[in-house]
Amino acid sequence: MDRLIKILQGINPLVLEKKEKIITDSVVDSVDLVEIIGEIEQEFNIEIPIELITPDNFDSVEKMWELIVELM
Amino acid sequence: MYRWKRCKSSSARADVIIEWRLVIIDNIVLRPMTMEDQEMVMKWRTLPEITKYMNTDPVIDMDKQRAWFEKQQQDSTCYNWIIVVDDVPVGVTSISKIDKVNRTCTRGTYIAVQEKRSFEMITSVYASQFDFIFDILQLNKIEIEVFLENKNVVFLSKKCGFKQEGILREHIYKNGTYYDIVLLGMTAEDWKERKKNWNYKAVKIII
Repeated sequence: MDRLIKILQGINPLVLEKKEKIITDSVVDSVDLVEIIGEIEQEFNIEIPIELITPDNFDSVEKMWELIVELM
Repeated sequence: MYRWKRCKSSSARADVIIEWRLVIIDNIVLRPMTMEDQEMVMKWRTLPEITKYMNTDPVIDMDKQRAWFEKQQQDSTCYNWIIVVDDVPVGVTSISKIDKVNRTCTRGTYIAVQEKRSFEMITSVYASQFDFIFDILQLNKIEIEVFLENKNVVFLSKKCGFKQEGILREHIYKNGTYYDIVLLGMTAEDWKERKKNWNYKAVKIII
């Protein structure tokens, strides 16, 4: 989880202040989201299919982590 | 899969709305670009964040802009749409260089109104346009050229099903710098495979 937090801090620290609805409430825009996904894939050596890039999986740090663990 | 409706449109082509019988995002529409849009399109096209990854940084005035659009209207190998979100024009998406012999085309999109930019919106526009290209226009391949430095678009294109086919080294010269261009292509078969598990929401396309 620390590695994920470091990625998010580097791209958009607001993500860490807002606990949920990060996508739904547009805390991150599409540019940030694409960057986040790219960094996650590189850091954790996983591939996130586009069908899994949804608010359900990216609306909170915890949900992102659950997805990463599932794909690892 | 598709339903056609007759509608009033200023497009030179048949007045048709294409509605997918999938889940549709009601608040996003692609409508034909008109002459009345040109002042807005000119302003968008010359925004630094838009020209940054375009092949040229054009210096244009309204006369040149109108002349460009008049030429586009006579060109049967292209479609130009304004992307409208919540009744607000936010960007442009186009198909061009339609080649009916080789069944290819190219495409491009930019979103000028940043606050309306969302992952779901962009990917829905892309996916709906791919359906239009492969299922309605019956083409076989989309080819695009993207600045290598435009990492987000390269990344997103690959996520949507495009495959990297090459790199044109030092292909564009702008403002004293050479830029590499990534060649990406997607065939009808690539798209068919890509969309299998993807429940994207469709947008209405007016032609």
